[in-house]
Amino acid sequence: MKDQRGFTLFEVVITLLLIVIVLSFVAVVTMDPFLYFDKHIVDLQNVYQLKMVMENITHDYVNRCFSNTDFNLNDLQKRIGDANAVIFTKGSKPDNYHPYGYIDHRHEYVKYFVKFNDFVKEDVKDRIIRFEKINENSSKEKKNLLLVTLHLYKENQILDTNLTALFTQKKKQKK
Amino acid sequence: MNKIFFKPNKGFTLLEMTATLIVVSMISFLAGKHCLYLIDLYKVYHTNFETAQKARFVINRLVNEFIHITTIHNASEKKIHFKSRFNNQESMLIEFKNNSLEIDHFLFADNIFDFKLRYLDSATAFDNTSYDIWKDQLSNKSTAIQFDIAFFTGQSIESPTNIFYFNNITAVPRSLKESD
Repeated sequence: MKDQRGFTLFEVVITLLLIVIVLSFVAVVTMDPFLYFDKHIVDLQNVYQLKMVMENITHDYVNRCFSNTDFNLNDLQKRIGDANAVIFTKGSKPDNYHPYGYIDHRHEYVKYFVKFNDFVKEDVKDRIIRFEKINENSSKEKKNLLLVTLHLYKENQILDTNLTALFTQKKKQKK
Repeated sequence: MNKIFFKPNKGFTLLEMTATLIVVSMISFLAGKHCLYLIDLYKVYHTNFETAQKARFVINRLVNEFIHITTIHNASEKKIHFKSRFNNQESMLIEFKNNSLEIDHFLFADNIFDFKLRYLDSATAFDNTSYDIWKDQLSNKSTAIQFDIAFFTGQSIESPTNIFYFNNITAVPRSLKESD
């Protein structure tokens, strides 16, 4: 019969430690989603914060652009804020207010990043509608479609949470 | 004879066995604790996922009702009575009562920790944000509705496991014609 020495204690312990290390890596990879256990709630809260900003913009659009006032899409564009800017307070001058992220009872602002805020025109090709930015200097093209894309801005970061709305210039209704 | 065919097998000493058992039990203890923690996280993850689904359903329904409002009969912090195109222009009452939301006195959503309605003061309210532009009571100049809603998880309101707040949900009625 051959000599059967078996494993040494050192070999057994090292093997066990290696197994535990490998298992812990596997556990971290497979359980990763559960470590962000409140992700769904936080995502939903973020969406509704941004929706509040967009509804406040819609409020001006519905109740001022269409209500026989001088307020028009150009004013709305100004008040939303410049593209690539983070809006976290109201403007310093009366004509450049952008209070859409204003939370009344806390006197705070929902910060938002303006990804896109420009007039566009429709371009239909192969039954697919595309929007192209209008040249700002062009006086020929009608500025009657305002496309707005906002991202939520939190803890000095632009989040993926975003909303896009298209505001159209229509005939004003008399109230 | 023995010396030719079988070499002596020493095996482990008592010290070696004890040391190994201690190491194995320590690793098992830590692994077990970690497993229990992950099981708890998994449970919380699923509860939160279900709460998020419920919140999305409830909030979307309320927002859809509110943006299609055409007439508001009366409204306060805890209830609103209105006509909406979403409901074929039939009058509807939404009320927060006994930690539940009721629509026309039928249970719509339970496990609601809190629900509060607010109304925008006027169409030009955003021009001057130095005062409270959202009011607890509806006025005939109000043009938008806002609400806070909080859901709780757990057995009862007295001992909730978690409370999830969704604040400042805003709905602008697209064709609000009048308030009674």
